[in-house]
Amino acid sequence: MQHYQSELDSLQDKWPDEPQALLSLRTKAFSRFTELGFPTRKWEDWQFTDFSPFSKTAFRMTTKDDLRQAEDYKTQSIGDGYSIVILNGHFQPERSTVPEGVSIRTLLDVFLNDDSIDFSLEEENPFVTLNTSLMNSGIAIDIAEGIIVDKPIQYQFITNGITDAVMNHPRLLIRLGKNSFASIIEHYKGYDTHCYWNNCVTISELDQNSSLNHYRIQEDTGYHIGNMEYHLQKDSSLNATYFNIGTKLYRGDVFIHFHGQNASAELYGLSLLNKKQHMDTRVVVDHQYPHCNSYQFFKYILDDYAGGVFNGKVIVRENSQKTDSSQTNKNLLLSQSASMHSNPQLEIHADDVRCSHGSTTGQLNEEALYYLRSRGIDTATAQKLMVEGFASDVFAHIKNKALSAYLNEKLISWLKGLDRG
Amino acid sequence: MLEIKNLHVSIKGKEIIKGIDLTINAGELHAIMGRNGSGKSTLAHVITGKDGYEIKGDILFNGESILDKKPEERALMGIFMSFQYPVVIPGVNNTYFLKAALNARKKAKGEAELDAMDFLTLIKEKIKLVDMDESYLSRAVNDGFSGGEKKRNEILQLLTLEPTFAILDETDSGLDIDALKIIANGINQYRNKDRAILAITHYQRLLDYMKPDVVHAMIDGRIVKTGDIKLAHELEEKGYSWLVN
Repeated sequence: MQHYQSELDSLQDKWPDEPQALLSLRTKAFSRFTELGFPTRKWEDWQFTDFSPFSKTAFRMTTKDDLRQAEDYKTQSIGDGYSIVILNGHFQPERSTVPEGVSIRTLLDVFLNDDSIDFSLEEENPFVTLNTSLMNSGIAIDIAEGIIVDKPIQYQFITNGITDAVMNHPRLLIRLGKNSFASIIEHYKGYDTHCYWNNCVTISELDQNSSLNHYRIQEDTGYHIGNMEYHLQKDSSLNATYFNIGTKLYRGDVFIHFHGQNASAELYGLSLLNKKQHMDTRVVVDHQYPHCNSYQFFKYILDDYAGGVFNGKVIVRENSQKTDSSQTNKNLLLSQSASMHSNPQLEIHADDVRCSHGSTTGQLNEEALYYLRSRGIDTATAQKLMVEGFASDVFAHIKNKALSAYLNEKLISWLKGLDRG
Repeated sequence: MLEIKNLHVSIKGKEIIKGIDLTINAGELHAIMGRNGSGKSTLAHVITGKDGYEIKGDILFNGESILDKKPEERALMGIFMSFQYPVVIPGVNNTYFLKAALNARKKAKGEAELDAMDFLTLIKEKIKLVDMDESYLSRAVNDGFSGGEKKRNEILQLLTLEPTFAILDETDSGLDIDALKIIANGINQYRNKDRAILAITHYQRLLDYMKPDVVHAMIDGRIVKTGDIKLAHELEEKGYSWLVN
């Protein structure tokens, strides 16, 4: 904790121009963080993951010097689209393009010039409080009322050329005005095997009758914490996909808050883990209004000694009649030493609702493997076909061809890389 | 083509097949009839190469022992089984699967593999022979198929892969008369003087359409009587009890 305190103190020297109000926000959030501390095994919703690397490692904030390491980096977007580029924690306005009707601002700018952001200090998640206190590279994307964004906006958060334990606390704010539509690819891509850490917060606010396709592609190789919070107003709809691959330690918290009737949220997730990687997802869907729908479909594929956690909770409150909700978690273990904790939960306080949930964890079906082999397909190829088949339905809903091709290619090269000695 | 020599098969110490000798030559269609639990399906799986059996005796295919070979090796040698219960493989596209299976054969034979377009042309011809809708090609293997559709999909694979030896494990069970005719027609298309078939069944119905050369009656892990189509009719009429001692 002492270490994070000194990082906070040094921010004041680094950014002497920061307004007093922001500094006071950082300090308050930090005191909340010290009250909470990092999660331990005794915390119910965090118990299957070891968060000790965050207290053991002296992560330092990225600086302008780190940017120099990455300046030559060539960004690659997935298919056609607009882009917002952040290199080693530094926003690159000259590499960023957005269409008319969409504004991109730094959070500092938003903080100084309008008071529309509410930073909660009641927060229970220590990583969010730490993000508030050490926040860097904050971006706000505002899509104006009635704007239909024709191509995906690709937010690229690149970590490259790092040689020691750095950390970033980025915050992304996505706000859709009434009757607007946008497709946003939030892409974290890290190249280094050093134990860097990105502690991210993404807050999406969907105004009435707006619609957001949110693809969160997480390819950090170090540690990654993500807090994804969504606020859905009346008649809005969210379609979100989470893809996680290659991360030492991942923890993602997804919160869906309904603020009006007839809103819907569809959530899809695929996590690919091998070696000693660990990925932990928690989803909380809070139904507080009638006639809202939620759909969750999360899959994990685990090899070697990897560990996975899926903790999903659907709350249907008293007045949320006609809620239609389903939650599915399916996991495939490719090794005897891999493990998965799955805990789908339903908490229903209304009587006229339709809710289902289910979870399965298993190995490749031996009968199916034999069937494929009896047709002349060798074991390794048969396994690959089946694993690809297992994963494919998570991507089936993605209409963006370049994106689904990108994800499929990631899956196939991951399968090729598995050690099948 | 296929030679089974004094075959004994046990599962977890329990003997299922208790000494079978059987020779099937190219051009022949043999039928094995028997009640449930007589060991017919076990025999089919042992020839195909499923794991989990303790085996004594030998099985030769074109003169070569196959007992040490993996299922995929046996398939590439030309052995095929139409499954009694075809397995559902979620997410694996039917066309993609069949193309992989056919190309594995082509590769083993040193022939050029088919690309997606050529394969599609081929499979669209073959699917007509089993009267299946082309929509089945874009679905996952056997996923959501009815019992009859699964069996047709097996015959589609038979006609596409063109093995030299085919085992039909109760391919006729659970089919209505129209589906049975289609299946029998598909099998007759496959049949020629260089290929052999072993059909396992409870009933003579399928045999009426296929005209077997040899019919065997199997009881409790043994072939107790061998004859021609008349034996099939006799078994249908009188059951199996008259064969026991």
